[in-house]
Amino acid sequence: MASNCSVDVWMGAPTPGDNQTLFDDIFNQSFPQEAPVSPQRFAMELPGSPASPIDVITDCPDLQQPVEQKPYVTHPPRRTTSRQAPLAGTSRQRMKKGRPTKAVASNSKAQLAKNWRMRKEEEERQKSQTIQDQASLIAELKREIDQLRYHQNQPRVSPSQESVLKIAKEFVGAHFGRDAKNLQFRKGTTTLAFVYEPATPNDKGGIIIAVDSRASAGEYISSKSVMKVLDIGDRMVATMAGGAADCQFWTRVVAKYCTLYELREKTPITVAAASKYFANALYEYKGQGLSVGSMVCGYDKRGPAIFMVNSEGDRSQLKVCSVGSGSLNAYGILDNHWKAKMTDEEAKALGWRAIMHATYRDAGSGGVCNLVHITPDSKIRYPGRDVSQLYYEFAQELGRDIAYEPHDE
Amino acid sequence: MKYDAKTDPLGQMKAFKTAFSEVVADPDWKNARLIERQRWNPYSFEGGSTCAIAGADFVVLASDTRMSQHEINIITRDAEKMHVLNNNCVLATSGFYGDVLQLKRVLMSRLHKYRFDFGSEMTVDLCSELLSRNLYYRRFFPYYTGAILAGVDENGKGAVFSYDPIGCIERLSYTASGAAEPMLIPFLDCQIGHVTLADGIERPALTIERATSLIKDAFRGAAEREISTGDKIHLIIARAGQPITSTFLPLRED
Repeated sequence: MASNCSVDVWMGAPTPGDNQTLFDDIFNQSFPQEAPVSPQRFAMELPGSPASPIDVITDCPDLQQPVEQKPYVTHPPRRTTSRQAPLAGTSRQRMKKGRPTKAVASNSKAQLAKNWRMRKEEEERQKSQTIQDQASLIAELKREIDQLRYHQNQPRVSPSQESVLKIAKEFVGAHFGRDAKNLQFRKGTTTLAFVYEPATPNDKGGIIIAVDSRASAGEYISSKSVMKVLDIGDRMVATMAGGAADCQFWTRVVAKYCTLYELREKTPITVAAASKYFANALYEYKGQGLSVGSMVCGYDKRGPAIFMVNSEGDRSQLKVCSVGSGSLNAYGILDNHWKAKMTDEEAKALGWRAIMHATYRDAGSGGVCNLVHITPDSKIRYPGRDVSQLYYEFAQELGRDIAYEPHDE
Repeated sequence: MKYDAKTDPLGQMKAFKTAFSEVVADPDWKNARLIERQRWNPYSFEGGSTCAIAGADFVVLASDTRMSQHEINIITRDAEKMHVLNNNCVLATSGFYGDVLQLKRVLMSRLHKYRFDFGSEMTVDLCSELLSRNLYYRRFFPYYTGAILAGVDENGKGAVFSYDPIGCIERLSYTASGAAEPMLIPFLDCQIGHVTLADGIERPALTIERATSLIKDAFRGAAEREISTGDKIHLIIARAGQPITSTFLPLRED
């Protein structure tokens, strides 16, 4: 085993792997052993590392104490005398003089080495323990400081109170603030549509769409004869509410898409698909100021359908729908009189009645009422009826005398 | 901005300057409208009004020729607000004159291209759709004009199309736009739309003479009560099968 000792100790480092004798790693260390790495030294030796130790950033600045530089070689000084020489005197004599007995004195090299190694490990463990303790202590202290700072800056409101305040602020802002999204009043119009089934075999059933015809620019009525029912295809229409130019332009875009679809697929487009395309086109401009509240109504292979599409990104399928500033009034009438099965005449009368009531009480709606009836096989447009005339006709029906008769009390 | 006058004189200067500029921007004694006017506006309003009436086989258009500045100064008394685009279409606009001119250039260019592509003049129905789309293309920075397009369509009937600044199109039998629009339209509602007549009364037919005289009266009435309308009436008459005629008539110059 001794013959395996390398002679060329100056030329290269004996790696711990080869020539492994029991105490080679201790007694054959003749060239510089690496000292335990300090951050500065490590940084200087790496290629491309910052030139000066000042640039080095360490995690824990508190631990930037100079690490103890270990001595060059760390093995116990060699013994000059041989252990195997017999000790003088008998055991008893030696004991009297206070010298170690043979048993103790005859500790072998192996045992010594082992003791030394264990002591070293113990030292290292203790040292690392202290370092760890220090680091963890520092980290803990930092965490505490952060917590305190955070708690200092928080408002002195309990979590439940906070959420209530937030909700209240949002509500007020949404309804009364500068950018109040009170959509009903911006879209000065009334449009409505509903689906119904035929009550008798004479009736056709389908969809009734009724709209007013007023376009306002602020308080001025810029037009009293706007056509708010725009054609998309042969069996589909879209109503107009909100910005007139926006609705016209985007309905044309959708109509173009539907025509192309029909040519490509050789089947008419469904209302769901057309409204989806519409909604997607509007969503691209969400937040930029378009104002569209449209109902896409039509008959397709799945039956009658009404989809309400919004410039806010809404799209929903409904049986009874109304959009615009007068929609609240129209809903009142529709919810009252709508039935799932109606005759054609009942359905048309309901459309006219709802628009009449809406225009009566809403300043943003007026003009003439245009009605469109989409049946399973046709689309019928009725001529416009003046809404003031409608009022008189419905009042007559109720038997109400609306003539003004002044009387003295 | 807090400052301590005794210990920080430079800060005092800065604070004074800040306060001064704040007051200039938002003074207590000015209302929002005045402040809005002082801010730079890409638009300016040159005023004026236009009107068009469609008959069975003719259209009559009229506009005033005054161009004003800040609603008070008169820049010129010979401004052209109506532009004959081709022998089918006449564009009448008022509002921001820069956009008026640009709109005219855009349409002339497209009509020129149509002439090249198809070998004939564009009809007024197609031109109306073209104008609607071109106005909407500038949806987020509009042409500040109330445009009217008029002409005799391919069926020989008079056509008048009215637009809002972003291109909402409507075909009507009469319309007006510009500063005096709220005065002209009720007059035309009464005389052409007959809204004030009871059902039984006979309605006079709309001949070209009646239309021309109505439109002159409408402008004379508007010039009486509207400051940016006046100087001359520019009258354009387009009849089916005849060249477009253009005349100037005197109007109040005050």
